[in-house]
Amino acid sequence: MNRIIVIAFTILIVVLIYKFPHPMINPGELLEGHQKLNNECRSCHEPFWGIDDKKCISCHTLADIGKDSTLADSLEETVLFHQALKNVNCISCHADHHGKIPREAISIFKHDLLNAASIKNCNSCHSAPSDDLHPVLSKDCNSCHSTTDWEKAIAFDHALIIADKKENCNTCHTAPTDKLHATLTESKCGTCHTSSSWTPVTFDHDKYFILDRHHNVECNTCHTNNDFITYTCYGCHEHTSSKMISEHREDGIYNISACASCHKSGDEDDARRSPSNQTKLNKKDTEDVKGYIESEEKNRKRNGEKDDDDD
Amino acid sequence: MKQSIFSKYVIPFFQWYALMILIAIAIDYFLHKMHIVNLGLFFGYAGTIIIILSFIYSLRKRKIISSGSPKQLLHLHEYMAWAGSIMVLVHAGIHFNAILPWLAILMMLIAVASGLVGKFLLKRAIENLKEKKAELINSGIDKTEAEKKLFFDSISVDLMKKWRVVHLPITVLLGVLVLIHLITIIMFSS
Repeated sequence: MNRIIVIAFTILIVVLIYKFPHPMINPGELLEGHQKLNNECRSCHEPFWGIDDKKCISCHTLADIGKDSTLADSLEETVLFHQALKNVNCISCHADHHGKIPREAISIFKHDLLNAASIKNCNSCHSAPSDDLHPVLSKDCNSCHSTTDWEKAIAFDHALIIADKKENCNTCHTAPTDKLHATLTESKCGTCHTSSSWTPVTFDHDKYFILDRHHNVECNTCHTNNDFITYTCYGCHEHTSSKMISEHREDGIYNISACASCHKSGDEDDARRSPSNQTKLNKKDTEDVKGYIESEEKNRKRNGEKDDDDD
Repeated sequence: MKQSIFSKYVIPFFQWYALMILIAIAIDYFLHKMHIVNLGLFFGYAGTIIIILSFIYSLRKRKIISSGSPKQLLHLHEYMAWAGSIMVLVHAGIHFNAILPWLAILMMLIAVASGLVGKFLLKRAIENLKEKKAELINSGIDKTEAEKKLFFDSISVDLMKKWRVVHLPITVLLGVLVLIHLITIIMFSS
């Protein structure tokens, strides 16, 4: 009895598949244009053999593919690269049963299928990018892009920039907004920056102050408020104005805000006097010195009174 | 303290069933997230092979092969069929394209459910019957009289034992559908 049920069930399923193949076994919706073939599997499929390209070409003539394509609207001219294919192998790029939308029916396209002339002319299929960068570059797309992953640029070489645009870095790079860069009237980025690596710059900081191991800190420790023209040495706990006044007063130095004019490195014995500003006091220094002297006087007085009491 | 029948037998039944579906959803989500949904195809083959391998138990039970402990092979059948079903569920995904593969999935889900009923609920019924029989004999009733009193319970257990009446034909129909599915795939594969 059970055996009869199983056989009957099998026959029923086979008959249903034969009569209604689309609802019974289709692995996904056919393309909009192929909808009329819903129950005509053998229009494309050769049982146990796959899909013969001849069956595709019997409807889609290679010479005409792309002529009426709406996808080609964005390109300067209609792309007829199917004519340029080395070998006809439709299913290496196209698939079906992935839904009605044509885009879904294109699987990975391999550029190897194109002939040598077409593969070099990227713009025959790809529209040229309209951003600020690409118009100033040479037409050699392969220098940055590969045919396997178009979006992922391999490496950008500044040598590709056309000659008269090479000096204008701001075409692609945003101009820095800090005070130092704002004072630079001419766009001569190349003085400090190189095209192989934007940071670090070739700017010679050692000329002004040597960044030794004790001074290997973030820029804004010394250059506060995004201002790279001025600096302060009082950004760390090692240096305080009162301490510096105390140390420098005996040498007759009162300007304690222009440290780097004498100290070119963290080595305090390497100080070189700069006669231009060593004796000039700005308003803040004057107040600091005044305050320091007053507090020293008070201390001395207090200690002196104490000593007198002890005597 | 005795566990309630619900927590001891019914919850594990639903846990195993729900866990199977949840694991399948989690794997499917992972495959989509990693853009490796094509692996779903291999899950279909792997799951089918694992389920087929689990039928060593059926061969042993029908004495077609003689080696292996039937109890251990039964456990192996249970876990392998459960794991294989997860893989087949991942392979199916949530795509309602054609009747045949979904009929096969439906059969598989019924087969797993009937298997889990056999594993958890039959065990409960047998234990229950044994306890009642022991209680009656302890109260001084002789064995024959106790069996008479438990006639309907015995019938119930016998019916439970016949869970294979559902499990086996459903599995056979599942096999038929899988076979037809494979043939159509080979026939129309590009």
